[in-house]
Amino acid sequence: MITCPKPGLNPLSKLVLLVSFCVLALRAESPGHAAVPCGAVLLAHAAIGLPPAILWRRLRGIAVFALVLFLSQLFLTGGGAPWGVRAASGVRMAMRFLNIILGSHLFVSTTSAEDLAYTLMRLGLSYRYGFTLLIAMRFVPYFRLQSNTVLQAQMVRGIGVDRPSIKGVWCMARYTLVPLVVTALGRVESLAISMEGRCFGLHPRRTFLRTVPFRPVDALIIAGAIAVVGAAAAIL
Amino acid sequence: MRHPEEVVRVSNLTVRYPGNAAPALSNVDLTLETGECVIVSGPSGCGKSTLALCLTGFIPHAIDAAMTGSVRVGGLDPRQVGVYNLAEFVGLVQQDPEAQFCTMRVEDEVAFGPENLLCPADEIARRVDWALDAVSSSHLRMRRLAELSGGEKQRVALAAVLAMRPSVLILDEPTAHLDPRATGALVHLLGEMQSQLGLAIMVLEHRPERFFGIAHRVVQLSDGTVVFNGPPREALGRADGADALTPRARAGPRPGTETITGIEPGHGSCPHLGPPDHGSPDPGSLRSLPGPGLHAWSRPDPDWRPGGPEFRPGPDHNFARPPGHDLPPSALSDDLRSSSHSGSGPGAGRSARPFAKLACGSGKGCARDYTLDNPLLRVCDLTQRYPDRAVLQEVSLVVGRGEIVGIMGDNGSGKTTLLLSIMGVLRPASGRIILDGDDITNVPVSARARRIGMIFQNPNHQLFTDHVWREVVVGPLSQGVPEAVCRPAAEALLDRFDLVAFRDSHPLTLSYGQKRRVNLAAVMVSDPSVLLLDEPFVGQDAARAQDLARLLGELASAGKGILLVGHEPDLMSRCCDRLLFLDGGRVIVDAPVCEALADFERMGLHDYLPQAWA
Repeated sequence: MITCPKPGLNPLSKLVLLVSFCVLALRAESPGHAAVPCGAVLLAHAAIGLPPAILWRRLRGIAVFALVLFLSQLFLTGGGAPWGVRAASGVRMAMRFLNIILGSHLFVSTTSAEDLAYTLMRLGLSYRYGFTLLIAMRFVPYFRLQSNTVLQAQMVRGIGVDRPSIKGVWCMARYTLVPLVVTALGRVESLAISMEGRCFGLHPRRTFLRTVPFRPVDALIIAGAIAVVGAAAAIL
Repeated sequence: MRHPEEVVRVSNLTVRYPGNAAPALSNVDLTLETGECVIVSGPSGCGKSTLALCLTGFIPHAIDAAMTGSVRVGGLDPRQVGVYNLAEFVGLVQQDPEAQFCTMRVEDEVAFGPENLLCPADEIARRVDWALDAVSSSHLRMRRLAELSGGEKQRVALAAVLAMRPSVLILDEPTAHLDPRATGALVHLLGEMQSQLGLAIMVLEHRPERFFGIAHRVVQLSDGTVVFNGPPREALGRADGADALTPRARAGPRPGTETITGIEPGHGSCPHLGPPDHGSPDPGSLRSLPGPGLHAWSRPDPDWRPGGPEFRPGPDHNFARPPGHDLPPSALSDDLRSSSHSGSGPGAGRSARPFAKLACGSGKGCARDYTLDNPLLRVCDLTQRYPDRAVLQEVSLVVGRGEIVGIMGDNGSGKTTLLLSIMGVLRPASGRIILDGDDITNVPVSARARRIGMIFQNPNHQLFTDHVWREVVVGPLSQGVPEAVCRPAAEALLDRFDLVAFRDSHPLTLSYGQKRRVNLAAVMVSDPSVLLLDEPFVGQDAARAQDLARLLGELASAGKGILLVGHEPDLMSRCCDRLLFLDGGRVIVDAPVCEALADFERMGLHDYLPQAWA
């Protein structure tokens, strides 16, 4: 029997953790309370070995948007409320936003989509939806590769995508879409024939070779997360 | 010993797609027995894929088409039982293995079919073991599909179908994306599967000769009709099945040759590649192209002016070589070939000719012997790195005026990277690129595009606009050239490439060959002096590939330098004047065709040798 090649938490445990984390982040009212989950998730990023520089590069746009949220709360809302109240509201909004994004980023960074899909399918999610997720994941690198090739093909025709200009960007967008869609449609047809030719959709259910291990620690984590959320709901 | 059992019987099958007057298949009769390998060949659009879709039940269940006649697969009628019930009798492996994968890992992909059949986990595991073992790929079991080579992906695609335990295996153009080495391995594998598993195998191939070693029969289709059904040795002499073996017919003489009637293949008189094809060229193909900058193409008359009388070469017209542009000797003598065989290493035979040393100015590496005095393109010590590895390592090459240089090598050896680096799409880590005496190493792509044209493997990647005319002129227009200026050249190109009737058509509605010609016209409208082509023969049947080779011959005849990446040994050896072999980003062979083939043979690169060489 084949198991998940990477030892670690079951994706279900991680999903429950993420949901619990988001609930806590949304319920945090004061900036101090909101800072706790934020600090925890940043520490978790460090624990998985993601250098702060890379994290900043990935999420700096998010940080800027959080700042915009804070400033908009500070200056555009409040209706005559004191500055301190508006600032606290702004921090709360920005921290909620940051916490949810950081938590989701941690989840995505540590969970393979295929493990998640197989786990959810084994839990009863229709395999059609599970494979929709898997196939979407397969298409991401394909689209990246194809769009890169199309851009290169434009460049070699002298279409000015190597010259930064508004016209260049307009041309790039205009001339990229059609070839990309056409090649994608061809691939979809091949994939449909391949899947149907191997009996995808023959039965309402299917069996699986792959198992993603669910260990006692996963059960403990799920139980703990639910307990913490319950306690927080009672206290906060 | 088990007696062969008939697993496929097709009688009087006619298939017609809605809206098409002509049937895709017409009165086709065909049988297939266990342990038999049948190659179905024929030009693009002859009905090969339609036949596969009928046998697997996709026609008429998933694809709308009218079927008449009788089809039996494993005793079942596909029209009645549908795709799912046939899936355990017949498996279809499509052209692009990458496009048919629906999971991320090898094991998941092979297990996909049995899982859909509700097999228990232990049975699935057994089938996965067996299928991977059958394609000699058990070691790939835990690998991610994205990490596999083209040949490995093809094996996994085969295993994924085999795991369904079919009696009949249909492979649609299985070698289209493989290099010759992987192609040889696949043919060997299919031979083993056929003998050991007793599978009935049907291979749909443009170029059936690759499979003649394992084939029992060859079925040739033409316009949906079976025109031949017999043993491979009888198919060899037939046009459709074996025209890839015929010598390349270059439509016009090369600069420096004497007469128009002496069509000279790229290998000249190489004794091991057969006699040159002396078929008459199409006079229209050599007509001049009125327009600025294009007069050099097929037009030797320096006094030619736009609007003058149309130039049609007469039967005894002498094509003048562009002044000062000496070409390498195109013909190799028997002595030369034998000396290359007996020499102590690559290039031993080359010492028989006078060489001109090229100095690229870099002071290293480029001091190689070439037969060219005044090359059009020089690449000196080009190194290209990706973050994890060097893709090209100090690659040096030259392309002369009127010369077609072929680049061969395994998938991943750096061929496409080399073209993209010359074009400027990728910035080299080091090295220089000199075009007609100008150092263009730091010239941006958009500026290079006026002097170098590049054609990618997939024609759809280079079709951006909504009608053919716009497609041809979009490059110059993007560079600020008024349409009135490029109009004469564009119109001449449409005429030359038989695209006038499609001027207002959407490029994506054209056939594959027409799209290729639109690509070529769109590149040629800028009148580049060098053409780079990345695997232009992929997916083309023999006739279309020869058409393209003929076009390239015409361009070379007009003094263009052509760098051509390709995997087809027969076509490459007949189309090119010189062959390069890239191995791990290094040029390990660079010689005229005959010497290069001798080098291939000496180095054990037998998969890269044309059949005529053997």
